[in-house]
Amino acid sequence: MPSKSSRRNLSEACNSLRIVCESPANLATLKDAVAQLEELTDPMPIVVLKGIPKLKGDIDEIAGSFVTLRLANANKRDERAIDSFAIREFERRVIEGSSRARGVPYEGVGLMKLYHRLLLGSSSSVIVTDRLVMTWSDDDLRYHARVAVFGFPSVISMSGLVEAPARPKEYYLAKQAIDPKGRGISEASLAEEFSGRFLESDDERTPTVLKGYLLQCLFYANTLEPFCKKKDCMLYNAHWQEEMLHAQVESGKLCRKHAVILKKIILEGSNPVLF
Amino acid sequence: MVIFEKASESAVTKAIVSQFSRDMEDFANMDVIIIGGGPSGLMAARDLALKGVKVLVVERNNYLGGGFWIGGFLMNTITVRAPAQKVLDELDIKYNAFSKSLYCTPGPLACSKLIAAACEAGVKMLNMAQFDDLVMREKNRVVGVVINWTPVSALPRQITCVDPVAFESKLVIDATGHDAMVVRKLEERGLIKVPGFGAMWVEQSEDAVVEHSGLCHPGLIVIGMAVSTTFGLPRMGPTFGAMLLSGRKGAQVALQELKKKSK
Repeated sequence: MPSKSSRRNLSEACNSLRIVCESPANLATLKDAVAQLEELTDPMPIVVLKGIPKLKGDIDEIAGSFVTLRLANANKRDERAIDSFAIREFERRVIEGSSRARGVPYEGVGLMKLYHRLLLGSSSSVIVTDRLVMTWSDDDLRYHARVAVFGFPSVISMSGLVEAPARPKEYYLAKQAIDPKGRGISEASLAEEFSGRFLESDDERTPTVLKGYLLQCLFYANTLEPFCKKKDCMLYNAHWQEEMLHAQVESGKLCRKHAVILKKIILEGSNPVLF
Repeated sequence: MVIFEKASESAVTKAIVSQFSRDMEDFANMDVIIIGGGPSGLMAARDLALKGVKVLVVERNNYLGGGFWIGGFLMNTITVRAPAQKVLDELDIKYNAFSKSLYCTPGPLACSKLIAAACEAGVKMLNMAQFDDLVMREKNRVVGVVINWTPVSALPRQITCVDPVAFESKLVIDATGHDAMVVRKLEERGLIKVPGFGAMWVEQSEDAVVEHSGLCHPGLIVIGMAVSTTFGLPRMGPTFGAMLLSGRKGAQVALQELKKKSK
């Protein structure tokens, strides 16, 4: 885990929020989300950085580090994907911004540590990535996709917004009924039938939903607690798409308690709990 | 009164042989050799040729175009998802909108136009010739291909002692579809691990194929459906936008690589 001194280094700018946008393709969506977030956090400055600033180290070595975090099997702990020239070359293109790693699964905690190393000294507390972030669960002994992994920095996965929270139960039942193997073109027709009940790629609600997760990262950086138990609060830890859309789009508000804490974060600047 | 001017049988034969011989001499040293004349290969070839790159497409069938003549399930309607219709615009291929993001065009129209566009751009074509092996140099860098006539592989082994020939090139592009024949040849030598393609998932696979198209081994670029096989991505469904855009991405990567080499 990151050392206390480096953690302080990354989070010292808690009265501001520095967000790194790893893929240039997500920049417009992120800027929309930040514009919405600024309405809640004014006058706290929010800075969006395009790409990892001043990439430290050899690009091939960094590409290799990403390769070691790619998961091959969601049901086997630490079973990593093939390490080959082709994969390294792809990772290099992702770092350079000419390819996107949408939907490619990575081990989330390791990914967060790698970003910590790459962003050290940049005072950035959030990185937004295309990569699909997974973490292992001892409850059911498999990896789960996540929207965010909280740390220094916190990692928000754009693929995770679509893939991580579960779609409605009826969706999976209908999918099973149409195609017993759960694959193929029926996916598209189902998406139409259940349209609006879950986030899709390039969904116009994405910036609004992303705003809520940025807020969760801001809370984590300042209080180490990103979540709220109230379903109407934007800090609600949604496991279902409908819960996520309710908290972030239909409600779109913080509960009273967290609204007060947010004011404190904005006005007092420094971390009210740790520092 | 005859319609045609005179030309003897021997003159016709000599014309064929001498022209083909000149072409083959050219083929022996190319900038880029593309194995597979399907939509991704033709698209990459056309884009490269328009930039002045010497490109050869090697196609094992008599006809070029691969699966682009037929949309899926023997029905010759080609579909592309947005934004690939912009490529159809560019190639002057007429289409109609099935929905706001899905477009249809007749396979024969789209395929013939793409072939014509590649030929007109200056791409050289060698059909009825099959990829047999790679030419490699230091550090296993790919520097060319070994090919033979397709019929040779169809004949009984006892009468097919026909040695192949080799062409050299600065880059080779594998556009052989899900077979990924060129990449598989590297795998046979233990130089690459190929996970094979996954189950069909149209929405995911098209994006993933385009994003992963690029250099997969020193001197070798992979495009089209071969990308799914090389990276273990979901297999492609009967929609062609990714083939066109993957070809385009492969051409961009090839141009960058050629630029690096010229320095």
